[in-house]
Amino acid sequence: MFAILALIKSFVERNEYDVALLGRIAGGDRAAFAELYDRYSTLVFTMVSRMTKSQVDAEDLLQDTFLQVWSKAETFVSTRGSVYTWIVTISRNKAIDRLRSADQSRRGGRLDDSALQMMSDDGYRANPLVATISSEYENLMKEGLASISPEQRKVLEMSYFEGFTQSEISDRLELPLGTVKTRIRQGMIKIRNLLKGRIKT
Amino acid sequence: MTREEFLGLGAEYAAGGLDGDELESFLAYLKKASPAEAQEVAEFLSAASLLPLALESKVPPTHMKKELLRRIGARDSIHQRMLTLEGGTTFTGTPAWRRWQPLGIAVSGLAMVLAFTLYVTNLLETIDGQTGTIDRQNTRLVELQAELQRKEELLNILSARRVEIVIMSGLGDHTGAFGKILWDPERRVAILQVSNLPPVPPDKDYQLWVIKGAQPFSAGVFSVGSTESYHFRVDHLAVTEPGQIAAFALTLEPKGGVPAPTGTMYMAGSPKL
Repeated sequence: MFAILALIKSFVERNEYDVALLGRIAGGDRAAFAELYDRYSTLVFTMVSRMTKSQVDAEDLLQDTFLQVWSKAETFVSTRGSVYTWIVTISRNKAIDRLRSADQSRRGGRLDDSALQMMSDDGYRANPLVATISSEYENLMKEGLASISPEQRKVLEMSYFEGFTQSEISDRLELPLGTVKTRIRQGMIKIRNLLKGRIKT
Repeated sequence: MTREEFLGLGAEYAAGGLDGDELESFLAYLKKASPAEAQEVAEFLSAASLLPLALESKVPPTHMKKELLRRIGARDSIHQRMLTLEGGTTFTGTPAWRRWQPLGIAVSGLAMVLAFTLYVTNLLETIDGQTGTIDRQNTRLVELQAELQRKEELLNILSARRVEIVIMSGLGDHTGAFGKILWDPERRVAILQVSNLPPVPPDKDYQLWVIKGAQPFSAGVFSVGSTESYHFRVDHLAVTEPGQIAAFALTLEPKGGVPAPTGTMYMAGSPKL
């Protein structure tokens, strides 16, 4: 129990520190920017490398993501979500745009962060899953992905990391759309419940 | 939409899979969702945002941080210079006007205005010139980066575990033209190298086709100028195995390409099976 409380406390403290860094970045503090880069560059590079499967594209996207962080730091609203989620959303959307431009036939997968803006402040603040990067969460997520079936994992990865819509996944895997939807739902519910259960234990 | 349907769509949305009407319906419902429903969607979004943590970490090259800091420094420097210029222009005239005395005001004032105008004109010309130089250097930089990217991609393909090479030969009046396709079947990425092709008219493009069975699939469009040799990256080749390809062909088509080949065939080549 104390370990979990310490974990939550560390998440909150980490996000508060990130928010403070972004505030300094909005004021033009390059040292703060360099520190934020050190904290998140590996995560962003890992994700965009997986999405684009190209070293060149991944390097471009890493630069684009952090240039946007530098120029848009003042637009971040700390009550609407964590710095972690903000940076992941920026980099994923940029990677989706890159995948779309390379393959015009692809339609979607982009997350509209306006959905985050529609949610209540309290709801977001109270959500312990709005956390930051940590080794504990890396292990939890690896465990989460391992806990779902290979079929569920396949469609989730195609959707989240490869930017395919459900219809596109259905076409590519030659599966009924309903099956794809069910697999994504069940996979997401299982992962969410696992994370939620751990935090509340 | 029922609550259950909404939450199901929330899970699909968080995974990035929704589009079209379903996405619109979901976002519309989200606007009027109860706090408890919004909370559940937020949990799905948060869980999805943690998915990258499950990947094997890949550390970016160390030079990237330095490059990034250089780039934000360059942006700031330009911004600061602009602010300084704006401030300086406002400041220069005011104290001078206060020192003017009744006698000789017209003469000295005119001289100062003329001098100031000349100074500002020279300054603006200097800024224009420097802006033009920066623009040219930026254009050159973009060209060099694109060239570097192509070279790196070529090296990536050459270092792939498996590389397929298809030789393309000129046809008809263009027997002097030749080309090669270096192709990484695992990543479905290829580099097309062409030489001695005639320059493309403004309303045309060359279009590369992969012939699979008897069916042509477009693999991209490109233009060439007067330079002898060009390299182009070909993404997402429509096939994975050489055995599935009957031939590669290059035709001249209307700008932007067409769904099926219509123009003159300039080059063709088949993989050695």
